[in-house]
Amino acid sequence: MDNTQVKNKQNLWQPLSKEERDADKIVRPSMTYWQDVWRRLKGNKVAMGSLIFLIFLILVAIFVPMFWPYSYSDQNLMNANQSPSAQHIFGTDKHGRDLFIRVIYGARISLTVGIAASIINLVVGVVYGGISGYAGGKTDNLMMRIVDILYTIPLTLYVILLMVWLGAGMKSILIAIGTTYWISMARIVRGQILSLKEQEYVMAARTLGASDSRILFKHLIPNAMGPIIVTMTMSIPSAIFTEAFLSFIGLGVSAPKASWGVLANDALGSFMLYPHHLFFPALALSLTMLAFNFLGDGLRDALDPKMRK
Amino acid sequence: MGRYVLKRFGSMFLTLFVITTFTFIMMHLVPGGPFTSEKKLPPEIERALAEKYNLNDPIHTQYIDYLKGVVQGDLGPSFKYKGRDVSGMIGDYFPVSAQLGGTAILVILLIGVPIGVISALKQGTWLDSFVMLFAILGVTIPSFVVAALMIYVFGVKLKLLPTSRWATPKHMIMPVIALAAYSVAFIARLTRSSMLEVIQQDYIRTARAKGLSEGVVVFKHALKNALIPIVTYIGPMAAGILTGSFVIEKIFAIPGMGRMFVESISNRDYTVIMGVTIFYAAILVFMVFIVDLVYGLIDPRIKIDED
Amino acid sequence: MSSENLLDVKNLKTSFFTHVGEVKAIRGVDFHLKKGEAIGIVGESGSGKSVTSLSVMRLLLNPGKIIDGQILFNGEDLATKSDKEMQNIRGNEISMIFQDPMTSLNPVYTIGDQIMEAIIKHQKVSKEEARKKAVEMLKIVGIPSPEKRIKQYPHEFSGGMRQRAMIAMALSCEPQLLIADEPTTALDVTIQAQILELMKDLKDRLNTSIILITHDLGVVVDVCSRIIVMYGGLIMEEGSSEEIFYNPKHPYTLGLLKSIPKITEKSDKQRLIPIDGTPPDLLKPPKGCPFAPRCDYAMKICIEQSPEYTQMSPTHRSMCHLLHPDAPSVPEINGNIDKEGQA
Repeated sequence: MDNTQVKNKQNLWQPLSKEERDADKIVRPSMTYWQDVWRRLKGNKVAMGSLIFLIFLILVAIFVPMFWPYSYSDQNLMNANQSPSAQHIFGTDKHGRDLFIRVIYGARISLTVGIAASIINLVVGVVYGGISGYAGGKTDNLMMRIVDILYTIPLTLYVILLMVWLGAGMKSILIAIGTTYWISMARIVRGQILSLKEQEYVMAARTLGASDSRILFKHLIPNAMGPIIVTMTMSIPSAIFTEAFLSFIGLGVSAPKASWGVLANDALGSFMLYPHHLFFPALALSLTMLAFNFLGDGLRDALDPKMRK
Repeated sequence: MGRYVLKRFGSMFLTLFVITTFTFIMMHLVPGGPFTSEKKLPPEIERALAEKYNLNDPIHTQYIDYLKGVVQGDLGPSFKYKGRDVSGMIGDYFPVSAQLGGTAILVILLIGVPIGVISALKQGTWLDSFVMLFAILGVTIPSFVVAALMIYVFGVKLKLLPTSRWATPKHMIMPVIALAAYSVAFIARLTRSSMLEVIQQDYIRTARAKGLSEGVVVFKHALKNALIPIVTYIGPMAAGILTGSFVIEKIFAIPGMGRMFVESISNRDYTVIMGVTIFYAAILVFMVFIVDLVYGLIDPRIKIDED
Repeated sequence: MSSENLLDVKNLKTSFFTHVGEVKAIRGVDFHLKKGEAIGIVGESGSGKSVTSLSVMRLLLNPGKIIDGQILFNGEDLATKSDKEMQNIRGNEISMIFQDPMTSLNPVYTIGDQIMEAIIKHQKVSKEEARKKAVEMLKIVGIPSPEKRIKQYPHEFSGGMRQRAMIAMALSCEPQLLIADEPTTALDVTIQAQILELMKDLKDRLNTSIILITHDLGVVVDVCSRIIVMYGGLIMEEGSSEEIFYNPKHPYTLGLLKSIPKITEKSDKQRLIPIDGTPPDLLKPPKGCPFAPRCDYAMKICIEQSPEYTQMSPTHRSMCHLLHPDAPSVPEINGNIDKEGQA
């Protein structure tokens, strides 16, 4: 063996430096929780597609009526019941009104109902669930008992009763839906708060003298945001559907304003002759609900991959 | 088990009581009297009607009377249809709705659950994706759209099935499908995810480690556990069928209680609205009670925790 | 010699084919087990010890697969058997118990039912005979009032009792081999001791061979006559209990021994020395010794080449470059004398 080979051989038996030892360690760029969530959501093509569709829909609902030649109430009985054409993309309804713009206005109403009702549910549910979960003990027990009793009763019946009492119209619908569907949100929030309450940072905050409401609103609720967001996204299609349902039984918004539910209901009588009356509002309704559902599923997967089916 | 049943039973009555009271309050707070939709009546007739319906009694007396009536099965007379009382009307129309709803529930359980199980066992295959696609559609497309589509395709174009009334079994096909669509899809998805979760559990690994056949592992060990969340869903499912019947009966012109209820809303027939609401609520609360019983039978941990 | 072996594992390789790539969980493992013998497999999570037992039982779930090697049980290769054939062996000739008895027992069926179903399936006896056998088994594992307990559900048992019930279930068909995967990890220390005593006792009474898998060296010393130390999907060291405890020849084994808390009379309390670092990424297994990044004595050769096994006695072998004649002297491991005659 010549000298270089001997040297090499001896080199192999030299101890390893720390840098050489750590060479294999895998390092991932650190991201905040929400960045991680967004990254996961972006990877979900269906959810992203739904998100884009919904944003597009909202923009259309806001801006198209501003420049569209027809208004939703312009009647022209000469043109009644026309099939889709170049002048009327979706055709006309039985009063000669342009169906396309009516569907767009329907979007305005249905989306407003859906989002507004969900926000009301959110606020009521979060406050109720938050207080119940945080207070614990007897207060929690009592509040949850009330929820349990309310929960067994079909909420739709409540909504109907409330509508009969309040009379038809947008405001009534919002109140009716808003005051009934908060229950599931409250339960979820309470569950989250209960599990988060025991975590150490809560005790730390309390030791530093934070008041109860501060702990609740600054610490616990932001950390429970994940399931809250998912529930809210999923409750929007429920609200939209409930409104459509109410329209169906005659408790929807009043003419000539029309939500998709009202449009569909009106179309029922003559739909076999003029299927396009029902087809377009139904399509709009179905696509929107589908989009919210996919988005909600995607959010749930992105927020906690372990929750995946 | 006995204590558990008793507790559930008591819960049921408490809930019914709350519902009855709430409904009563709601109806009596409605602005304007029960006759507001009609033309102004001569004062003597108004007085006579008020007499007949005890409208002049103080509210708490009316309430007690009403409660007494409810317990005895008397829900009062209809305001709109003279000579008819609410219980009678319910008796006339409910059987049809019961048939519709009952059949729908059978379809949901006997088709939805097995589909979910099969989908879970064949996770990842095209069959699974196919079923899941259908399930998503079923859950998001509203029942009236499904109904309309079916009427158009099978009723008008293909002329295969009758599109209204309720006479022969053939009449039942489309309404039952339209009514059950949402819940079949939902329960299939629920069963699938429940099975998938259960199959991952440690006790399934133990069952396989004992040398049991895969069939026994799935159908004895996994399925019973997977059924637990499904049984919990039956309550909300019944509620959905019930409210769904309003729409379906209207579309298919079926002479059921749903349609009657919707009409009574437009007619502002308050006693009927109240009575039917309480009746519906009673059905649902009873179903929840049955569900709780079944739950207690399947999951032995429940009963013990209650004590 | 191999014809006496109950279990003979040869060059076993198991990988998980995940969507990020092939994770090589076991990269060439050989060991044997004689009838009536109890051996321990020790290692951290990720070392491959549990995967080894699941491979033997053929309980690997997708995406895990045995890609090479033989698992000879009584001379027959389990790696090639069909699922149906394996079902006749599991619970019958080879049984397994797991770490957490609460989640390992089905909550909706009685303990009796769960014990009886294996007996009925494998021994083809009537329900009544199976019930009698189940009661007897509960007695053997030391559960009081077995006739009553048989009708109870898992959540009505305490932690230690549940593990006893699991053992009863596993031994009900008198298997030749019992694999116990972390059987005491989820229990408190006093119960731990009882369960280990029970296992020792049953081994002697029923002449069952045992493979005890754990991350805790302290657990194996009492029950097992031989110990296998695994790391990074390979066997680092293998020897009798005395050899491993009193004469370890691998830095990893040394590290494990140093991190066992010892109750000492001396007033100088010894510090626990944990092993720094984390297990290797088996998606891209290292070409050298898997323990090198965490080894206090690592040399350049350690990351270049995987060491060969050095046999120190008929029962004792170790996979370490320090045992090579050219390696520098490290008294704890090799007490080598280098060329200049220096120790």
